[in-house]
Amino acid sequence: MATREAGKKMIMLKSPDGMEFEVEEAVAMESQTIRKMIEDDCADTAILIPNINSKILSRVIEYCNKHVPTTGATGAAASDTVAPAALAEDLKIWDAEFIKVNRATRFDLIQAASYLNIKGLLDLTSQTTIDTISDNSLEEIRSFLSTKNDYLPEEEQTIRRENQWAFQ
Amino acid sequence: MRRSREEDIMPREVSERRRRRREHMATARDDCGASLPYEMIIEVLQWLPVKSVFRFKAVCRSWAALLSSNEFRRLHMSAAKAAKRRTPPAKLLYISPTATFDSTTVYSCPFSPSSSSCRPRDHGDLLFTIDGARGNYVEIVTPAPCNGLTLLYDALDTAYYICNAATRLPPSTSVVCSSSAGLGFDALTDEHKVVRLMNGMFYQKDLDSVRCEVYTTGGPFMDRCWRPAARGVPSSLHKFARAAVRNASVNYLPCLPTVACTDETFTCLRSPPFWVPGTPPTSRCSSSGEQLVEIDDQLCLVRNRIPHGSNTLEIWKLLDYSSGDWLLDHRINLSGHLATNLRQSQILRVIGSFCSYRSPRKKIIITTSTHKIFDKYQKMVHTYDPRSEALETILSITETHSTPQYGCPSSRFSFVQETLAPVHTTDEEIALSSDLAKATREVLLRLPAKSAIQSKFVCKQWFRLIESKNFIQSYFQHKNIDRRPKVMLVVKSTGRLGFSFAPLNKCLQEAPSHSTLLDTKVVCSKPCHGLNLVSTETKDYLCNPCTGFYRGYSNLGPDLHRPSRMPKAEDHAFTVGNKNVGLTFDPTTRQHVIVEIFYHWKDFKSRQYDLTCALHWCNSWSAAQENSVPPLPVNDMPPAYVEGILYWMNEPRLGQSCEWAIVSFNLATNTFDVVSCPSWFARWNSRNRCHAFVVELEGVLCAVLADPAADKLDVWKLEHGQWGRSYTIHLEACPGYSLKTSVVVPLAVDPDHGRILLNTGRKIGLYDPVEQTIQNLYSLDQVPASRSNPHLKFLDMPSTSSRNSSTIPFVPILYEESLAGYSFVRKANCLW
Repeated sequence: MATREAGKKMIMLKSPDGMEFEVEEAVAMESQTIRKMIEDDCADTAILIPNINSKILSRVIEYCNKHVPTTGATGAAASDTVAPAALAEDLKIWDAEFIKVNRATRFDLIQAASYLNIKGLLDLTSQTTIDTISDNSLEEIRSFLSTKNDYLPEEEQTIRRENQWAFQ
Repeated sequence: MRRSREEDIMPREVSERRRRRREHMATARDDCGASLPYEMIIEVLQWLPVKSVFRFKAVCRSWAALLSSNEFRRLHMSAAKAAKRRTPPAKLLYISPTATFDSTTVYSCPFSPSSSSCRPRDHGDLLFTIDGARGNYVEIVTPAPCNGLTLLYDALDTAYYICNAATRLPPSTSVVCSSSAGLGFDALTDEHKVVRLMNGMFYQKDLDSVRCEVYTTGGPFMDRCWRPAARGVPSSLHKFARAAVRNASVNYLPCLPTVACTDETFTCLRSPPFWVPGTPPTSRCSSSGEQLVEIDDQLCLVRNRIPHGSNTLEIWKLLDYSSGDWLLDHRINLSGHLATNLRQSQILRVIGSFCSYRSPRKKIIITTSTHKIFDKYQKMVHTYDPRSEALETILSITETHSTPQYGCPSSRFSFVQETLAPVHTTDEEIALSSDLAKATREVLLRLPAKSAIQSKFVCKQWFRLIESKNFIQSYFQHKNIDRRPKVMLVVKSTGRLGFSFAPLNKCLQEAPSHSTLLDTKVVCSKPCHGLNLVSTETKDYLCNPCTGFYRGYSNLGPDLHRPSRMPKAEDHAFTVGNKNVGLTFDPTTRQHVIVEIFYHWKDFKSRQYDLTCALHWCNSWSAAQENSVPPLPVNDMPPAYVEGILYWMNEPRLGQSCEWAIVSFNLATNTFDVVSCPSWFARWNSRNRCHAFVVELEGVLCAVLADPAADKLDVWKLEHGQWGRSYTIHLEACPGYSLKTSVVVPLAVDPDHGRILLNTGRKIGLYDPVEQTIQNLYSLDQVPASRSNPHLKFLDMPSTSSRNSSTIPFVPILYEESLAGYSFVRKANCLW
């Protein structure tokens, strides 16, 4: 495509609260959802991201910006002088720093990553959540994810009986 | 610029490109000029064909909301009924098994004389595929759709599927017992109801009663199960057969009770005049007898006189429900040449009538099903013109069945009725209805298996999510995508099972001690469809090491307390008792099957032996079944499972042959076979002491020849029917792995570096084929030798007591992370 050869094509991303973000096409294409739209020629100038607010969207773009050279365009990676191993290590530290957010934000990030289909971000956010909850009791998981227990006592009993081995 | 969604009114002409963009992300742009009042839009849209309704949903958000609403659906349904003439020409619906046999495809095709081809896909449009419905066994229960929905029945899975062929909604299932069922529509609550009658014989408790149960599509989650009909079944009812649907009632043969769907009451209709009291009940799969069908909105009874030698088909019409008067409407003569197919068919069914587009004359549709030869079945559709009395074949399809068939499959044809009737949403769809739920799913997919199972109790939504087949499948794929071998250790536990599973890294941190070492000998299989088999001398356990699920199965073998005439078997880490057990998977019933081969006696001098073979269906509560015996004696090494087939190495010291050969067992066909070994495997002889066995590495069958003299393992791979040497494992330089003192089994291959995981029973280690070195992962040598441990029962054998520390069984188990497991509570879907 002509635009791609010309270098950095910019894509405008709009959040529903009216903010606009101008990002490189390669960065936006970290999201498989946006990539599909670009490839299908459904995005000419601006793309509205309907259910992600500007605060979360900016963080998502921050993540994509950081991760684009290693996974995206090969040209950028080749020019990089840092060894791949060191680069990966660097990214890991950056990721750990990036994910130090409160619970609500992390959940918003998971939703955004799921909607935009960004595998790396989805893995990072989900895994972090798992690490915090996997050893907790059911009650703790419920309160952490602010989910209500909607089982009737007898329903819960039935299900527990069916899966008793999981509680041994 | 931002605009609200409410302003968004549909454009008259939307360019294709813009429509596509709207589908993706709904840019909510309203560049349409003229706008009509809401009522007017509905007025117009309700006359749309179903296909257009679905296309128009992509126009804009407000249309999508409107067209998906229940209100619109009702309007559309009544409009379709009012304007019969305007509906597109009737289409035929038919189902056909796929090559993979565990799915069924649904096609539609117009009523036109057939082409010469016999393949199902050449005739009609593929509507959708029902995954999980066993094609050979699926039949259409409702001859004509009820308000647009068709009921399908999978006889093997005893599951019902409801689908809408016009909107191509994927079907939803409900699993039930064997019964007779019909589909009805309750106009009051606007719901479809599946009504089934069950013979009380299926339930030991109430032997003589017939039960009627209702399943309502839609409705809240916990109500989504079969419940008894609101009014009971009249006691006079003792026999039942097929059901037909007319308006809001489901009718049954032969006593002709009617179930009204609205208030769920039974009424009995007067029998037609030819009915003789005490006639034997109509059997389910025979073409004789009578069937009910709805023709022109009227209940009709089809009476097949062919078995009685008169070559006619009578159609009786019920004139009036209250009086119960029947009228002989048509008598179809089947004596002509064209009717040969009909006379010879195993299944003959009248499914209704239709008016062709060009001629207004009504034609009656008769479908047949005939077993041709071997695995070929012919399905035909004929039309009968009552005025000219002409029979015409309009469709002929030949099906090939991939698995043995227990009988000619019943009806495969129905109509397509254009309505927007919804198939109720599946549990998974409900669970995934929000963005948050999708995010939750991503989190749950990454949970360790045990936590994932426990998370079912967080709330109902999570329960539905985790229970769904799709989630279990995704979980398995997500966790095992790297194909990296995962190892746990079987350790002692104080629970009922006597052993439990511990992660390898946990064992590495704590030095092994006698409190964690097993006191019974166990042998573990490699994972097969997510589960492992752990065998002790008396029992086999089906286990999921990740979740802790297990189920025990008793041996069917010889009485262990009887003095055995067996020679002392070679006792190494991979034998337990006189049995050789393998785990395989039955794709038809989707359950694991344990294959047990038992030696009652063997004598290496006379080369005589006596063995039996038994199969244990793991989700069945019945006892193990005796099976035919393998054509060759198998040796003492565990079998390998590769793609539905179990392989054993034979025992060249027994039987007539001294050659090494591989015995295979295919569960799908229930047959044993013999696969020849690589030609390199010379005849067995007592001097070179070579030992051979089979393993599965990287999903391929491998034959391993262990040569203790040279201290090396030769691994051969069977690919595309050809043996090729894949690895040679040199063990001279590897202390503790010598073939002179132990049996070494390659467990798996590390996909990253090509290293091979070796297991001796005392050590496990990664062998590097390039460097020819071993990196020890875990070794029992770290255990302080304790000769006086009374718990080590298996050490009682005098021959081994002097070196007891070397015979402590040490059992690594290779596992797959999965949520697989069978329910403990006996459910209705128990298969036989």
